Amino acid sequence: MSCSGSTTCGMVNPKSFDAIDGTPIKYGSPEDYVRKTIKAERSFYAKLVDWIRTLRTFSGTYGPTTLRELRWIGHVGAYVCKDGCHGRGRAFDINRIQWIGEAVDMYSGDHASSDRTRRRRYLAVDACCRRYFKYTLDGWYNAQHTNHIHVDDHTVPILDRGSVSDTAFVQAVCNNFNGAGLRVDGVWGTATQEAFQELNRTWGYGGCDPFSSEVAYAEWCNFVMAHGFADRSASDVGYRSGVCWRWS
Amino acid sequence: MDAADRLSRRAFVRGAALGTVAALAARPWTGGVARAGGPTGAFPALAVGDPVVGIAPFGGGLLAVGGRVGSARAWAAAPGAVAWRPTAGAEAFGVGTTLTAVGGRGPGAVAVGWAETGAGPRMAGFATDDGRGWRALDLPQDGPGIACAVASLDGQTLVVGATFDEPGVREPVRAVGFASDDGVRWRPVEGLPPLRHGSPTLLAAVDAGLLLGISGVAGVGLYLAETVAGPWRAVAAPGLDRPLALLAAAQLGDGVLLAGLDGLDRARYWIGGPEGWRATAAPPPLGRADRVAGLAARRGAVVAAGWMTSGSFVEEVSVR
Repeated sequence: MSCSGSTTCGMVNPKSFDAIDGTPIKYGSPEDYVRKTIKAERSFYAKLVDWIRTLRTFSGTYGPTTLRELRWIGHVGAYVCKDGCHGRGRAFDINRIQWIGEAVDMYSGDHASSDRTRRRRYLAVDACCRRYFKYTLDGWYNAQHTNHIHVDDHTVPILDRGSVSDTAFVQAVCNNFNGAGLRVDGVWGTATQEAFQELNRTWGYGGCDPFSSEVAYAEWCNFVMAHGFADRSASDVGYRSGVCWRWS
Repeated sequence: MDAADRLSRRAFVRGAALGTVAALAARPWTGGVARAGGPTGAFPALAVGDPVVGIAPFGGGLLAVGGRVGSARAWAAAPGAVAWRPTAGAEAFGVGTTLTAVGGRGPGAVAVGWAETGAGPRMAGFATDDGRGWRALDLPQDGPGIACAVASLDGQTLVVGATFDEPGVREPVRAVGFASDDGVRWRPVEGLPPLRHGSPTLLAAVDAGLLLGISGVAGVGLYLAETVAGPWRAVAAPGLDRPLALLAAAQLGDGVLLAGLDGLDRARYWIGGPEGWRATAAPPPLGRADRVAGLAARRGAVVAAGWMTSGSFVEEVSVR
């Protein structure tokens, strides 16, 4: 699954598309979004389909009526001939998710919004990306990603304490859903470990190891999505996992 | 065609355009004949089962580099040769080394890329005088990263690369550069343009100076410097309404030929200069499936190196 398996860019089995599972994708930025055909590796596109179906399900189930119908996805491209996953057609840069009534606007920096609801919804989308794509690079990762979320399928999506991207995401989740007050620095230290454990005790995630199991990490991301789209704190009833559940 | 420039020829038909072909390094990636049409018999084939990622003037002839990830290779064509010859394999560069580009340096050449380590990729560079022996360059390291391109100007060589925030995430965050006047001692170069989510994909010496292309999904930037130390100034880049990567450039008389690939993986070409570009068709005999990774101007000819659906190629192109 590595994106560094070739010295030249290009795709083995490319797919051209201007919609993901029927949802249009629009290239550009606010005031300048245009529906355009793009290319990506077909297997990567299949993951985008899984991703968008999960996004629809969770936003529609847990979000308000304004998040019931997904209208289009804003992006700044997939394939471009450079080193890394973009050069293999296995990366996609998302800068807006538009529902019928609301949007998560990465381009405008919703991850740093003063409105907690917007931050939580950004994290819900972020979590949906992480269920399927590693690496997912968001606004907390570095300055290059403050206006979009990068997703690629370079490796298996499990949680990694050694990853700056994963750790910053966990820290932001702990802060926004459980008031952890962590510094989002991407370093998994004692405070982050304790905040992560406290978060999981609070919203009832347990009995699973997201650091070694794809399914367990996906379930953890489900907690983030459900609470994020519902705009609920970890202590509020949000999501019940049939796989990784700890009764408290 | 000047016999001295005849390095080798394609092993397949390109119709009348074959008259312009001067060099070839093509073979399918998995064996067999490279393209439809089959060998003409008039042109000796050179068996290259690996991608070719760059080409540079070299001791009166040409040097090409490529190979697969972790297994670098080099080929040379001396003046008057009728075929390319392999000059170095993985043993010359070290197993785990991958090459991304090559540039001429005096009578020799410098190839760059990365070496995979337990802590992720590290920039790597090698210098050669004969194409067979390669000396590892002592490039200063700044964490995970790769060297992307190399070019020489006025006796000085510049290597540009990109660093990553963590070993597994190959999303460039900073452009880095190293310059040398002797090929032995390398000093960091400050003032390279910021990456803004792109990666250096082109560095070429043209009459106006060094041309640096930084390509990413959000746009492409083209920069010019009159010395390896800069300063770099943004110049007009070809306009396109979708992602674009600029990959190669070569001086042609008064103009520059620029080659790239758009977001739909289509080859694009322009002729012009830092003041402006006009789109042009693929220079014959290149076709729609050919993707140019490197260009080298040689004795008034322009030789392109790159890859296609079923193999790689090195050949002279005609630019009108």
